[in-house]
Amino acid sequence: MWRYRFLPLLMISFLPAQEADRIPFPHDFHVQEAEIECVICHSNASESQSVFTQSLLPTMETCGDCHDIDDDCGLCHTNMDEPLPLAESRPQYTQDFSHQNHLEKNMECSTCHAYILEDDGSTPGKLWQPVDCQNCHQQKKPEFHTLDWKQNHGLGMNLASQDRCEVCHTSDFCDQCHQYQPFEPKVHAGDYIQRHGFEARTGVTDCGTCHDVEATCYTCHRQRLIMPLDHSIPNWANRIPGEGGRHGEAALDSPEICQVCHRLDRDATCLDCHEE
Amino acid sequence: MKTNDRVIFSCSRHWVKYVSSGLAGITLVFSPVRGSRPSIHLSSTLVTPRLHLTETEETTAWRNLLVIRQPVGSRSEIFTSLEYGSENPYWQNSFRVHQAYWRQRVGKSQLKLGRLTQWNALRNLRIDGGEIVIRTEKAGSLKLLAGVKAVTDFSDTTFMDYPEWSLSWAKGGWGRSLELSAWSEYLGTARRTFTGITYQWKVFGWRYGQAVSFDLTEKQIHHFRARFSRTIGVRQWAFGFRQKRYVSGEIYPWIKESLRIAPTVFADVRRQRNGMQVWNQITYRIQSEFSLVWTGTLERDGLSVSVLAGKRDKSTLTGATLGYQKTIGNSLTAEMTAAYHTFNYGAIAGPSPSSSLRGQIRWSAGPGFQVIFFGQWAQNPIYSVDGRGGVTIHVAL
Repeated sequence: MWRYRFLPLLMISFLPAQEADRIPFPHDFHVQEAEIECVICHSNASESQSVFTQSLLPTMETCGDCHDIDDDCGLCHTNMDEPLPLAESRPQYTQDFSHQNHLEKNMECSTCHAYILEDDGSTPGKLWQPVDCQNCHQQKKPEFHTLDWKQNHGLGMNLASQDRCEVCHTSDFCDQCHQYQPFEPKVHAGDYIQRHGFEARTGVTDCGTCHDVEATCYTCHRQRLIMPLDHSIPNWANRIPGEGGRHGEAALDSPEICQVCHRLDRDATCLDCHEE
Repeated sequence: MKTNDRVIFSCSRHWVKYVSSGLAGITLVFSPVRGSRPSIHLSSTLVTPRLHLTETEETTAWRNLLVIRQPVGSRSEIFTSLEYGSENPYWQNSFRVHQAYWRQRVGKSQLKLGRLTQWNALRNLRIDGGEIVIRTEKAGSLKLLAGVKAVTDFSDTTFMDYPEWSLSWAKGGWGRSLELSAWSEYLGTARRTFTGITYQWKVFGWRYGQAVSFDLTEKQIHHFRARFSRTIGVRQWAFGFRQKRYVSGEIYPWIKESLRIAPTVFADVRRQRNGMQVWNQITYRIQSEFSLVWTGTLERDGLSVSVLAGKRDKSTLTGATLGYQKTIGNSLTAEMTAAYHTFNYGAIAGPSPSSSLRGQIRWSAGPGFQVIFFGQWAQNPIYSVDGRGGVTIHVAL
């Protein structure tokens, strides 16, 4: 039954549709043969902070500086019955970009837009590719990726800063270390199991950054009854009133570790002594 | 059906499975028609034998990870990150949904619906719900996020199925930013409301980062974290402090003192010169038992040497790790790590050594195809010997 629900969707998706108007623009001719500077048409690029909010396309009047825009519509529009304004032919941006910031660093337009030299306008051309960004941003990491970046990037994560992460990183980039739990672990490799308890108690790492400490530790320490080694210390716990042993100190030092196994709502061990 | 405290296969969350699977399906069906090419990453891993701690039964484990990003028009996209694989102690069910959302951009602002993540200095979240972010040029950004806490593998638990919300305002960028937040979450046995601030600035050449949260319900600081760092010549100096309050509810009613995870202070210095990086860090935990740990790392030309020495009360830990990575040609990368540690618990148990060896060979056949062969062997007192090996095939379309 479930498969038939997709059938109408599939049929609709393959229906022929009238081609929407496009404005194919031969960049190769304008840039190479006519030798027109980019800024002649894209005059506001040097002041554009966002491609989402500002269109860098020229107006039709700009085209009219050289072309007859009153009588020769077919020169630019592919569907003269329903011509679209130039602004609606904007590229599909999925990431924001500041042209101003990059041009202020004396970058050339061709650094990212080299493809337009081969764009004859017959097919929607590539304006840029992610690899263009990576040419600079992966070879030369941002200034704030300092030496301690891997260990301390979390402190800088907030709403104001992290939308810049998507310039280079995909949405699941954080998950690759923090969530996916690969079988070939990058974070806790080798004999980490031996030292994890020590590091948790000495504060070398903040386990809680990634782990729900209670749920994660509970799997082994409670369900599999693996006790921490310090429970074997003489005088760890005794039944002398007022002299309960050293477990009390440990509870004050690392209460979150005790709670992994000892909770009143599922374990009455503590109540053997503490009920009274 | 209950297993210990956990409720397995809660029907109330099954709609998320169908919605996320549907999103992935629709993405694949419609992408060629709509003309906007999706980005698809498929990663399959097989490892055998899969040993986990005290389990004696050897098993073969596998998993498939599918990550799809599908632009829809110029302002929308569908993003899904799904996993299907064998069950293990960490993932109780085979089907897992890490993220699955629809994003609509409006100018610089955006709306997200589905299973979302939030990575934040104050609080990390994974929820089933929605998020709206309004960005302005001068007044900063505002974000409202609301939903219920997500359970990645649908092994719903009795303590996780709670509504969550957070409201944030922020201004600035990396290095200089300010964020004010308020949110609500269950801690201990009650819902609590928090407010928090994260702050990054640079004063007299020192970078300063801070994250503080305040429990409005009990009117006290919940979490405090600060770090100062400065680069002088080829060295970066840093020191900082972190502490988090422990909220236990009524778990230990006989303990009258306020329970807090012991505060930790740390200092480190890193030096980078001629392609070599050296890093030394000291961590001191302020608690009744003496606790001090030193770690040192040297990295150069694919070689990495790391040593660790720490003392907590009568227990000591020392160890070293050696790693090496070599790229051969354009397509083959080999790396190896060997580690040795000795844990000594004073008079209770003598020195108990552990050691491990791990290797990996990664072959890249073009930009969208990788095969990774890996193997690991470890010996320690917990599982006496663990050896495993496997292969990962990664395809990007």
